[in-house]
Amino acid sequence: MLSLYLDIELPLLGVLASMEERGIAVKREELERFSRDLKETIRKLEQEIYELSGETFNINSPKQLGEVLFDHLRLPHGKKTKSGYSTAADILERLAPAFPVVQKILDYRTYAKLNSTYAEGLQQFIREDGRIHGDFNQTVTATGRLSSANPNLQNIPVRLSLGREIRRVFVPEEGSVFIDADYSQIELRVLAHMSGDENLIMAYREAKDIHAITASQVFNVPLEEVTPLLRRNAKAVNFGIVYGISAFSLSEDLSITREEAQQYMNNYFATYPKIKAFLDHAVASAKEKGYSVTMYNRRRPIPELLSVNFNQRSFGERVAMNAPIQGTAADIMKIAMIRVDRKLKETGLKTRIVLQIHDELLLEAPEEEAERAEEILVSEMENAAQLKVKLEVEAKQGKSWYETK
Amino acid sequence: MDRNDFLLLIDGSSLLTTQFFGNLPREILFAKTPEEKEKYYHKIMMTTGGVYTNAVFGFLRTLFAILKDQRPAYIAVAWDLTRDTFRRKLYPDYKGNRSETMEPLSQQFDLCQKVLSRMNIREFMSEEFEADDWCGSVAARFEPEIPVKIFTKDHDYLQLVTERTHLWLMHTSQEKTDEMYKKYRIDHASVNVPARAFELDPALVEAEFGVKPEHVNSLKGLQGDSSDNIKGVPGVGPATAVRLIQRYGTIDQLYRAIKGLDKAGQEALKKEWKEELGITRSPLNFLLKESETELVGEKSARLSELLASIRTDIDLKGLTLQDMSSERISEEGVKEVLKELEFSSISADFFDEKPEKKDITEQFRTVSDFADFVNISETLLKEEKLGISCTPGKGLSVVTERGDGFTFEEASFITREELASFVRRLEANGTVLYTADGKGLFKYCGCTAHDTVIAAYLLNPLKSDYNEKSIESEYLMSQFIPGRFWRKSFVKARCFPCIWT
Repeated sequence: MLSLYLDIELPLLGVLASMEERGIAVKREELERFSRDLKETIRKLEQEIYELSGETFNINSPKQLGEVLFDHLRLPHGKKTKSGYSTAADILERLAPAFPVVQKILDYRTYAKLNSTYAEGLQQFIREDGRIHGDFNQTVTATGRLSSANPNLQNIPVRLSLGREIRRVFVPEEGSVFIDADYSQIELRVLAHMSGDENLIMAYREAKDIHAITASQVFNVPLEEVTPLLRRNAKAVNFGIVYGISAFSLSEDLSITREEAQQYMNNYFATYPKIKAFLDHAVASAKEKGYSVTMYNRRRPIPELLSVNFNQRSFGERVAMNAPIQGTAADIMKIAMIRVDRKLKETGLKTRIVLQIHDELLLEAPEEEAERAEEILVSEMENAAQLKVKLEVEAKQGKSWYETK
Repeated sequence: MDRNDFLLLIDGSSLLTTQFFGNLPREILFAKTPEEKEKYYHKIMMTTGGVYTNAVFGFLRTLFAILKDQRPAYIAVAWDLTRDTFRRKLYPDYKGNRSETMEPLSQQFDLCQKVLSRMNIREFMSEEFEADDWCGSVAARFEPEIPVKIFTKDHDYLQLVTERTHLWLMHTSQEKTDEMYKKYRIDHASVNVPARAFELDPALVEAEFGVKPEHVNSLKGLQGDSSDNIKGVPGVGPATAVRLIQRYGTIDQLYRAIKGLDKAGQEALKKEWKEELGITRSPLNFLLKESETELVGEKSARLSELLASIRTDIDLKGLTLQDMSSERISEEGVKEVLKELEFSSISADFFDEKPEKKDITEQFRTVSDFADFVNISETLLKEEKLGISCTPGKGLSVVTERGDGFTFEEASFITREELASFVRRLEANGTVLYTADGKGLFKYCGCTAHDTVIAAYLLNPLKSDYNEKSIESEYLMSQFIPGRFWRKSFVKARCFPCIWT
């Protein structure tokens, strides 16, 4: 572990310090406008909810909401909590298709959260220099990933279309561009390497689309005939395996029966036999040692494995399967960051790393440096580790964080 | 050690539970579902062997502080073992609203009981009775011989307060306690009571809660108690209940006054209640309600009163005061327990009078004169290893292998740039630097030092914080970074930032 400390964690200190000092520029007025728009949408939704439910109440109060939905409107209720009915997302989601007011309430919550956590939440962190300087901490997570706080810049929305809009406010300074680079399925590739499974390694060597290949192999369908549905299922299995998913969870994710999910998993392990061996070994080893290890010798203690409680132990087993993979991916990213930072300085460029979001690295580059910087970024990331499978990096440039995705 | 002549009874379950929730990682407090909470169990304080200890930590810290400051001559701890006591036999729904205890907490009950037993502290527990019944019985038995203090957060105990038995009622925040001292004009400094606790005698119980201690169970007979799922009399509000009990004392007396009245009598009573007690909405109908199927009215009131009554008659089988003497606490046992549970920051110095440890920061020389700084920094350049800590805007602290410490204040000619360049010279000169905030140091002067927090994190990434006290644990240094000195120096260098605050 001394090498992990000396060669990865210590050098990383300087890189993180630079990132924190540099910060990222934010268009304040645009953020404010975003917030105003959100508030307007929220207000409209409020009115619609009051109209549909026939009364005015505090939608943010779970107690009042519960009363309105389940007492006054007599909708079928789910769990009951100490102080009333549960208004948790899963319960409301089930009711939404049949009752329009419930969908509006879900939307209300989404927008309200977007506004408070992001639109308004971010405003307070903009400093006089017009930039947000978040903290990047390397001693917080159990797996070895970095954590970001004050504000957390690692959970800015990316999926929902409205959430993504927030990214428009993050911009490079005048005369510069953003270069965003992502590792493609780094965890799956790490799994292929660590397990040594020849089929998975071959699949990566042959074609670009690992999910289609997996679908073809697991469902016994020629590659050209893999439908989008099959591909989606294979993708779910691919990612689930990395997290030590159970047949039950997989069945919930794909809306299939448990037996079908179990069948998929069996086919998967039959197609890639060394993966099962690897995962089982990871659990056995963690039980014996009390911790799991990554490729770079990072340790993750797993006390849950000793628990008398079945659920705790199962959780521990999932951690034992996932931590080596997620931890190794995190180690590789840290190495990449150190290499990129070093190479940029050696080459005399002014380009610097601005954000890290687990598998993604964002750089701010003067326009004239952008092409060279992108080459360095991709090259250093891909060569951060020599695995049995090549590490693939996709990079994109843009005039805002929104454009680079 | 000279002890104060009183018997201290602690409600162990109340204290342990309070300390558990008071020492949880934020993520668990904010998590909504049990599954979400479970995800963060690994962040709860635990030993390197994976035993949860956050509640026991707080428990012992509180216990030792009391032993040191309040110095009871006699002490015992009572526990709830199960919710299936005699009260459930009377009313199956008793405490029926309670959810399952989180596993990290339930495991620590057992642990804490074993710990106390190792320390030779007397405990009371049984399947038949609750902790309050034990406290009530022991207090009743010994209060003729010696004053009794009961330490708990639970308001149910108010009924045990007598002239000889006082309650040390715990609050969740110091503010609440301070409010109470202010309200009753008691000078906090003149009484010897644990932090965040307020001492209640019968007069204060009546002043604060409206009724005499001996009527508290009757009050519950009407009000009920939602946390224990005791029903009370539905329809009677809490303020009305207080006034009725103030007037009648017990449930029995109340019903003697209201039963068997004709219409005119009831009207007269309502009038009397309105005029003399200020009860505008008469609860009479609710009190007199009867039902075959539901628990209401008198039946509910009497049952609730009974459930809320703490037993004071448990057979204590020849227990003597000496059995609970603080002299019997085993110093060996305490040391062993603290070591095993890895509680290096709890001091158990209630055994003998030890001199106050000199404040570590006093051993450091503060330097604000530029000439001094120049001289001292020259000699420091000769050092092979140095512990270092920086606070932008305030200064730089440095400690040598031998333990000599210096704090250079940013003042007049000793600028931040001077200090930063000093550190860079040290680095260039080959001096190995150790710090607890590598990122901060890097920002201060661009140098990379060995970072003890990172080292501690790599050895155990599950902890919530890596302050200097936890870094003192031995396994950390011996396996890892060569040179034992750095442990001492970090501890000292790390203390610096305290001076500034």
